[in-house]
Amino acid sequence: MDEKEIFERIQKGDEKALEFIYKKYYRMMTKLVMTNSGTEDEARDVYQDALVVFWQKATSGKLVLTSKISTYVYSICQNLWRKELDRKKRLSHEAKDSSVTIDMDSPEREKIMDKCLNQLGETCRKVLMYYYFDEMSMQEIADRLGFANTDTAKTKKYKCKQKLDELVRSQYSEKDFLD
Amino acid sequence: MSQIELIEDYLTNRMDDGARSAFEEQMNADPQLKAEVNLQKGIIEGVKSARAAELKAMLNNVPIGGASSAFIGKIAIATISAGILGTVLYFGLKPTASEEIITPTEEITTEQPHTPSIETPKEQIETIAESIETQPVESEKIKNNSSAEVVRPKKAEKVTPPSIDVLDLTEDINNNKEEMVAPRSTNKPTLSASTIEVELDDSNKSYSFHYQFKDSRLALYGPFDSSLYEIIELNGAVHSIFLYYNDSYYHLDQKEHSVVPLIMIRDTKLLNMLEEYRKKN
Repeated sequence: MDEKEIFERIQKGDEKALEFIYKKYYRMMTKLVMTNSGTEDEARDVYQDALVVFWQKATSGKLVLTSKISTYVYSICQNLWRKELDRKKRLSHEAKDSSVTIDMDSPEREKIMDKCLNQLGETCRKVLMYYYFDEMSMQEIADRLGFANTDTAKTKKYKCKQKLDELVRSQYSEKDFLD
Repeated sequence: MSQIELIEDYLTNRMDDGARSAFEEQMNADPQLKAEVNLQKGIIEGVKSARAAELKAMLNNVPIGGASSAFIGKIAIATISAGILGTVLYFGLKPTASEEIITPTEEITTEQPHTPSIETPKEQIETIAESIETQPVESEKIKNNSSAEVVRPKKAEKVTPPSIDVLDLTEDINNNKEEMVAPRSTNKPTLSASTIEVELDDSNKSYSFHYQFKDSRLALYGPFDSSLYEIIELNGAVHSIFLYYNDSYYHLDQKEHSVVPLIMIRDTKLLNMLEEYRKKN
């Protein structure tokens, strides 16, 4: 597989191609973090996050690749790791000053969402994820999930979203959800 | 356009600037609308982060190791090796599990001369006991093999057990000893359950060469008893099952609950891989 082919496959939402990239550049990307005072865990974390960013940009069609994939992903890794180092630095200063804890990304809401998404069923979950995160077109969603046409995909997406909304609403009060 | 569609367009940046500011104005004047927008925002963000987490988990399950860059094929071969062992175990343990299985045990075992079927269950039990002790040592060994500058992970629970598959492979290819495969296969709990029950049925004339999964059992329709067949399970990130029959390979979709015709695999890459592996065993 050459670069172009891999990128095209990723653009089409081929997860196997992403796994291929992941393995291919694992050593190179994790080294960047590990030689900059990061552990292997942190390195892996940053690299995975970077690939998720890359994936999202590629599948949504927002990315026109002008460099090699590795160069692009490397720069995301650099940015993410720089941010993480800054965050750590801030955290250690604040820990000295007071016991202020940084508010994490509402774990309660995440739990609610996970639960609701699990109740949705595989196809609905995929439709919504492909639509909102991967930002695939209705045509791409139809192709990937084997729907007859884009109208089926549209209807599916609409119904699945409605179902998800209902689940979120019925099980949890808005206050719980938003707090 | 319904309100929900407007909200969605707003949140997914599908509004032009004019519509956007008009909507924001409306939102500021209407607390109920604002609350709804916030709720929708939370839901959409939730879907997004769930997908990001899913992708990350997928990557985290990708075995990393070895210096080679031709990973995909090799890992698949390694997992097939474990899968075939599962097949052998199945036939070894339950030679007469079903009267409909005509394939004699000997025929299978002649292909696997290193694994006498009677001894296999005993080995299995021993290696399960051993694997508790041996696994950490192996992990370390893999670490050392794969990279010199590896820092030992602190948060063990986040780490995918380091690339046992890949190590499995190199040793498998170099030594090709059954006993190398046997203990390792027990490291993968999924393999002990890789005994798919097979039913043969050539009574129905409308199904000449078909299959179906019912209650997680595999039913093969057609004149299968006349020739040797083999079920090959792949226990990688994606669980796949193949049928080897009459020098051809067929993919079996475990989600297929209705009777469907068997379709021959023609992907030469995959075929070569499956073929190469079968020869080695």
